[in-house]
Amino acid sequence: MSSDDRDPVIVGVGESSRVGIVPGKSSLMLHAEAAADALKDAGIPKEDVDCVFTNESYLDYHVRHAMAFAEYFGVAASARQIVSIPLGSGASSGLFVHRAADAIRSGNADVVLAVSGDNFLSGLQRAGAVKALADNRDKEFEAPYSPLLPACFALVAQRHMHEYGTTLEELAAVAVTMRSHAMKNPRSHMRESITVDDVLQSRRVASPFTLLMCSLVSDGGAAVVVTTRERARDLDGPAIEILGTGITYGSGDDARVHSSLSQSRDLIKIGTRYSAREAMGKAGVTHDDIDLLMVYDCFAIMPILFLEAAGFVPEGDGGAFFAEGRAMLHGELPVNTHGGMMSYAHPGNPGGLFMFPELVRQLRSECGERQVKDAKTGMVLGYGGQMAFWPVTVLGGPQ
Amino acid sequence: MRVDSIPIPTADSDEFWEGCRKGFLTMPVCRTCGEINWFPRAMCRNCSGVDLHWERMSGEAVVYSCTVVEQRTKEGVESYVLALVDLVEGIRMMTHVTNTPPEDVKIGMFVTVRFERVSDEISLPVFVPIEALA
Repeated sequence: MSSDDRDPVIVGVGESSRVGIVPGKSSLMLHAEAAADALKDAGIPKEDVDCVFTNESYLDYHVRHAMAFAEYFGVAASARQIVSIPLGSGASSGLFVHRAADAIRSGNADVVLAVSGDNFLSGLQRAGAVKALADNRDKEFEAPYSPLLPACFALVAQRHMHEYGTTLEELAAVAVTMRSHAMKNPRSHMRESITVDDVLQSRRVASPFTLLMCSLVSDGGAAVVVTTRERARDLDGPAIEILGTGITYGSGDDARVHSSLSQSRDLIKIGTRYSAREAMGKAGVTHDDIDLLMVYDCFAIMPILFLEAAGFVPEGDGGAFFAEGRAMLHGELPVNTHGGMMSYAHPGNPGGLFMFPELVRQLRSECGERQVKDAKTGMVLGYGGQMAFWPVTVLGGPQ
Repeated sequence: MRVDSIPIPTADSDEFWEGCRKGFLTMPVCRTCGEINWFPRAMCRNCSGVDLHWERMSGEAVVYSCTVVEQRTKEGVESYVLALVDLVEGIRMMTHVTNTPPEDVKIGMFVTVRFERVSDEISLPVFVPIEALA
């Protein structure tokens, strides 16, 4: 036995057989497809899974969601932890991997399966999905004002435009960047070419956002399998290193935790500035080491905030970074090479989890036409609640 | 205004909604440390003291951020201004800015509270530009 035997590594990633418009499949079936795909990718039989993490579902409520999935999928009774992390899509993927790494390191688990799926489009239709997400608001002091999700993030964008002069064209460039990547991904929900003008001329939703500055409503599922380095040595496939994780609660310099958007004191200096530093510090990497980023792109303002907060560009320069094409596949720091939630898929809770399969496949050089050349280290930036907490994960390619 | 969801007062917020019915904004203030607690609660979020009393706020605020929401309904497109406003006492509230064309509402604008009755029990605080009152 060597000292690094219990280091956590990602050995399998998977997705539902299709993403986008997937009628005729239940939420639990989308979970099961993704889970089976990830375990097959890892070469690990499902009987060996001894820890399961899921999210809740917006459509298919279960008091014990993770137990309901485990029952559906047939997880062995020898499992030691089966836990739902009902925190919402943006952060749960980061928390999945953070908690999986803890469980592996501590010896509380040997094979962790983290999975999420939903038929957010076919099960709810678009209006229902927007309403389900709006239930995140404080019911007494926010909900009466109809703060639909795009409007909440429009408040963030307006403040960023006010403080830094970020433009509509820069916001549109974020959408165009995501679409250009999705066009190289045969599985993407949206693959039709769009221009900055197309984005600006799409239907107005909440100023400054037009429809194409908002993420999709899709169906789909994703899963990740984490195990020990010791176990990974016996597997055929490459092991991806979890080099570092970090989490910050609260935006900017909030003194206390908040859950609701209006309780945040600063909507644009987000907590990622601390969690990115923490994760990169643990990983022993600098900005120059990061070859690509996955960021939670629910609305066009968020990738801009993430690049600034993580320190890849000075505050206020995030919009220009996208407008100048520097986040494109062949730019200096490709962002969301799968197409993100704006063009690949956003099935509710699983939306953020797709960042992990994409980054893992990039680090294994499996991405074909959209492969980032010599991708060795990448980072996943997420958030959860209403701009409330900010997990960061640094992954490294096989050694 | 059209309201999707009418608040249901709780043990923590009864006094706040009673104030709104009478036409003023009131919030629980901690007698021990002076913290204004918003959203309302019975234990001070700062010092955990339970000796809180209700104090009237000025109702004057500055717009921190705002957006014109265009929502499609059966009747057509409905526009309203969703905003976050900072009371002069330092408290941030989500609200609507009304009584002015939506596109005229700007970050930094001075606004003051008004109340819109949405049920027998609930009057919702909304804000209007101060210059619109002149």
